[in-house]
Amino acid sequence: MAEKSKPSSNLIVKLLLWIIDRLERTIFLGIKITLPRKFLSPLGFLGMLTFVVFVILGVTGAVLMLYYEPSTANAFDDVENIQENIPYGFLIRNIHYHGSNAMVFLAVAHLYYQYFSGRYKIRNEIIWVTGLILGVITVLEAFTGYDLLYNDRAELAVSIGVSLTNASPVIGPVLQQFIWGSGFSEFIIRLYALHVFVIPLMMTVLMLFHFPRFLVLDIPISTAVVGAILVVGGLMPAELGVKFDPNFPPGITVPEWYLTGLYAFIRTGYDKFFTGGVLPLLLILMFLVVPFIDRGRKFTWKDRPFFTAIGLTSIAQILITTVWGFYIDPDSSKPTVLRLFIEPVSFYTLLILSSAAMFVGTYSYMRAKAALNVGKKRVITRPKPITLSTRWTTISVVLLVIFEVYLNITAYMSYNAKLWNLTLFEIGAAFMVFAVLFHIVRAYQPPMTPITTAVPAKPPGAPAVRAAEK
Amino acid sequence: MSQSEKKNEPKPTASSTAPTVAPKPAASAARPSPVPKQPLPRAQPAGRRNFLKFMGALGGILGITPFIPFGAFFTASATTGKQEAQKILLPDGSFANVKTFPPDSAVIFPYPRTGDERFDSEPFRRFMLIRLAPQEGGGQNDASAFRAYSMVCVHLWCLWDYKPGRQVQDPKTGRTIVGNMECPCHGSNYRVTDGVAIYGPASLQTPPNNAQPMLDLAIDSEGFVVVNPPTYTVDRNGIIGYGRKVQA
Repeated sequence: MAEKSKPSSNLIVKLLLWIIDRLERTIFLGIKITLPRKFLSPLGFLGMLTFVVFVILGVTGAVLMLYYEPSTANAFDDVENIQENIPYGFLIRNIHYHGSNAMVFLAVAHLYYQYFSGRYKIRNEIIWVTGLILGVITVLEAFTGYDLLYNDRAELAVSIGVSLTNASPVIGPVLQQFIWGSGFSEFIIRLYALHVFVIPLMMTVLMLFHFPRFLVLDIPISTAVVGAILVVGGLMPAELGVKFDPNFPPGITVPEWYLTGLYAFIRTGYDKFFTGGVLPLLLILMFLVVPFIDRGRKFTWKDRPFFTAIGLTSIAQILITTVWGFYIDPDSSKPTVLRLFIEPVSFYTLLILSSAAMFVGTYSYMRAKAALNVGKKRVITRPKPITLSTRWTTISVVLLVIFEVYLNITAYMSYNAKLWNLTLFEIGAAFMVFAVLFHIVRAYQPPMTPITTAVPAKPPGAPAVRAAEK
Repeated sequence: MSQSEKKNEPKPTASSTAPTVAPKPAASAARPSPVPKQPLPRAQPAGRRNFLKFMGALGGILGITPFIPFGAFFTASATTGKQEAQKILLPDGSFANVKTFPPDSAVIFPYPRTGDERFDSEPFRRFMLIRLAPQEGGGQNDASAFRAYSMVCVHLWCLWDYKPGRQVQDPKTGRTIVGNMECPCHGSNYRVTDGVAIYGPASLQTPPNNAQPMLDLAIDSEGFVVVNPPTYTVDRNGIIGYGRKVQA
């Protein structure tokens, strides 16, 4: 780091510098992307990780388009063909599917991290609101995606989505006709158009208003996230489900995990628009108004017990409704209505009581703790970075490269053996190994040469310690 | 031309706000203007200015107005088949006949049948033909033994299924009904005799949103079950996905 890069005579470097210089006349002048030179907590750039996954979804989705036709007759067979016959189709479809899950998860995690660290302050309201819209649209994008399979579950999910639109007050039927059309052959084309073009375009435009000017792109963490997507895909390969047959009504199905909370509300049997539309909207509204209520100068969650308590309460609510939405009485001898029906009195009572308990508990605990800590100075401790010696760095890097070679060979072999989920797992593992390797190489610091002319009182290790502190 | 206008414009405003912003005119006075002074455009009367703005806005609105009906592009309805009397085609290629169709069983069929698989497989054009259990009058050899309901649940449009032989208790009369119509999504149950929801979320919806649309059936001279052309209104055959008014 100490030695500044000299003006290079290398032609390629010159060309790159020339291009970077000219890029300053473009919109990229306003964005500064930092590639961190040391480990940073990924919590701070979860948004960028969401974007990385968005790009992966764009690439894999564009590839999947080549073999997919959005029609009631062919949709399922096309996906099955991609999954079973097209070379590497299994892998690409799995990356796309698990990428969508990861994107929803990362977006929600990003929301909560920014919420608890009070980042919607300091004139970030526009970024906050566009982020919320992006989050909702992300779930819609994922929803339109899993509908394109046109299996039993997709058929039911489309029905519910369209009829919920239809059940909106006043403009419902017109809105339904406008967005979805009428009949499944129209639904599926429109879902496709929304999924591959309209919603991604909306997201891209919203991103222009959501990206802050300073971004962190961390290569090892991004690689690790992608690797994790592949590993999860290898462990839990995406299922095809049962092809929808118009001659046989579907059985009981549960929506994707990000919608089971909503499913739990609907299962209580109250008015469909209220349970499926208004109640979930309350959560979004809560997040929408927070930056306009929380006007204090304090940022960290420790100093904002009220909003921390609200945030934790909302997490508790999401967990309760999500888990409850998943749960279906396994006793299939019972009538379906008894297995599916969620008793509203106990459900809503538990929801309200747990929310109150969570809020009051967190709030009073944090207030009490703050009262105890009055006058005490807050000590911020940072973990010491682990630095390996030159020898151990070399040894571990070589071993990791050998491991990557091994993983590559096994991935190739398991692909040929048609153990495709194993291939996916091994590619993902190789990605994660690369992440570790990158991290080690980045963290390596060349040993300092002892300064011989220094004051004799100084211990020889001192400069190295100082460098490590930096 | 436009540049000089722009440069000139701030000056009158600066002088007009002179009492409040003191240093500005002083600074401009100290520094000689590089642009030679030109006659300022005469201030227009406020009334005329507002009128011109209004006309400009009106022109903009009139320019957009012709595009409003373009919304119809999104709401074009799908081609509908002919609403005519049709026999009911069974999956084995034969037609449903009162002599051969067993009691307490059901089959899904498209109406109106077009021969185009794209339309015939459409869930909104699918109906369930049910021959009631003998206890419910399925033993009769006339149209009263049959029912044909829309497959689309009036709650959230999932597709319900007929469960032969299953016994459910009618919550109103307490009578046990044999054969049950049941939705897999949220568990709505319908009374097989008239298509009114008796359990689950659909039963909590207010009439007419609690009953399945129903087709009128007849038996022709050879014993085939025939669908009479329906009228999709709440009072008659009902509206698919919406409901049907049932006379108590």
